[in-house]
Amino acid sequence: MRHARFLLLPAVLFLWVVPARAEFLLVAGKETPLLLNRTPPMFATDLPGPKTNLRAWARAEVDGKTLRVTLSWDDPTEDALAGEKRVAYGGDAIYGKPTERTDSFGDAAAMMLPAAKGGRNPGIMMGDPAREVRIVLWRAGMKGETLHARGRGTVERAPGDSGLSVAHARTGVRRTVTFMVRDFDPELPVSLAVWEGSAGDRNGYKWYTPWYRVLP
Amino acid sequence: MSKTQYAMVMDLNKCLGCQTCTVACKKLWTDGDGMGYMYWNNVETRPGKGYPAGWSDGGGGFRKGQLVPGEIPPIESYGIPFEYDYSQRLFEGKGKPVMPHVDPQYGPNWEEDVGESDRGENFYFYLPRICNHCTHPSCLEACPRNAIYKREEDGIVLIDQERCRGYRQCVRACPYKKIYMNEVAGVSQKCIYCYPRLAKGTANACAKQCPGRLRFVGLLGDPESPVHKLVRVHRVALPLLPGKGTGPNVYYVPPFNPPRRGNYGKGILEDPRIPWKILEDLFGPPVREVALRLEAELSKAQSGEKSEVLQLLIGRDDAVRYRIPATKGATG
Repeated sequence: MRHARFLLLPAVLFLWVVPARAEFLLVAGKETPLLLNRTPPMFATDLPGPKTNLRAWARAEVDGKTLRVTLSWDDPTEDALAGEKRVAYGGDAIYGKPTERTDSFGDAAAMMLPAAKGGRNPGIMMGDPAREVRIVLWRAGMKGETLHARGRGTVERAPGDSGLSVAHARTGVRRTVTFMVRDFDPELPVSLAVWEGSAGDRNGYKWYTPWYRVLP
Repeated sequence: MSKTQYAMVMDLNKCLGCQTCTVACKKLWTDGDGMGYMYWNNVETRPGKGYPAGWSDGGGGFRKGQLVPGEIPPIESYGIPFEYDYSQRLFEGKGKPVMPHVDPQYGPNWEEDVGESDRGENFYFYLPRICNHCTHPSCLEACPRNAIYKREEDGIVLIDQERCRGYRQCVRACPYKKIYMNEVAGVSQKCIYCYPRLAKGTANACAKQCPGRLRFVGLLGDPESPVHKLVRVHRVALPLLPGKGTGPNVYYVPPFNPPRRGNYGKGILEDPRIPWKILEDLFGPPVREVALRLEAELSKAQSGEKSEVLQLLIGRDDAVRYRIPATKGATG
């Protein structure tokens, strides 16, 4: 028993170096820097993604059963499809419209959460056949959309009232996109994604986070 | 792969470059917002860069069975669609000629518009192009949304406009660059082979309106169809860029490529008017065999014999040029 104190130091060091549980948390009311990953290339011949590292933050607010997650990042370029441009130019300005680009893509952001709680988390790329996900998507120049999916290529628009909504604001270069979930269950994790249009991001080309648990 | 396959044969010896097909298609399908630069049917002059410029070097298709994603052509390679500013002349009293609102730098048949040639030889031909409704469509393979499908009943390749989200992987993958992004609608669009017209027994608008009567339409596997006869029986029609591996279903009767004047009896293989490389780059090495076959048929006709191929290629009326089954017909 008197030798037990010699075991204490290695035990403390072990617990310090190897956490018992790696977990990503969004603590309500706290601005949290996000861990963002770049999706792997879709085709073998794809060029590598943009070299710059995107930095983004999220702030969760829980009000009763309503969750609001405000995602923010710096985006100096305004990339939108023609819909928004046409509004900006005051309609169909034939002689001045620099629209009809064929190779430009719009900025976007999304939040995803499992459709049901319990069991393992769904696949991080739009869920998987056994685990459906709900998605709320903001796309520059378009209305917010609510979607559901069971894996890559299965995304569909959610029918009826999905309980999800989104709002966007811009201050200088800082973009903020706020996602709202009605009837939120704290057992459901969330994942966030950002598409940078100027880098050619769309569909599987994006920045995405792991599943984050929300602490009310 | 579909059970049956619609195909089109275009006889390049009869194309006038009049663009009636282009206008027929444009007026019918692509005069909406975001479609200004879209020509589901275009006619380009060869040799030339085509539409979009350099499309044949833009990648896409399959190599050893693997998808080869290519480039998304920028709007400049199509030429920025321009409008004539009539208001300056009609209402503002400027009195100047009506001019395009931008200085045109390229267009759907640019080489003919600028009328330049530095080749020292006067040869050219027209190449009308539509979506090839390929047997192995690389656009379908590339789409991450599964928005592109090939109809089992007739092999027509379509884009589900509800599923498409404008990612343009199909544009990259198409070796013919025959898919266009509609930025206003946020979706990709392409030739639909006039399937609503075919359902009513009427030929495609581009074929029906063609003054040169150079287009033949039917099911490839139907022994009575003109396309079956030209492609599989007489073997005088070839697909475009066959090396891209997608199995295109639009076929071309290549230019006869007669010998140059004053060649003192040399054959077409010895002294061709159009260099063989130009034709081989487009239609592959079999183009020489087809040219010889056509030359033999021409000799036959000139000596008073009847050439079934040439009679068919004349395409006197709709019944000869089109065979469109009212219901599901022959297998192909």
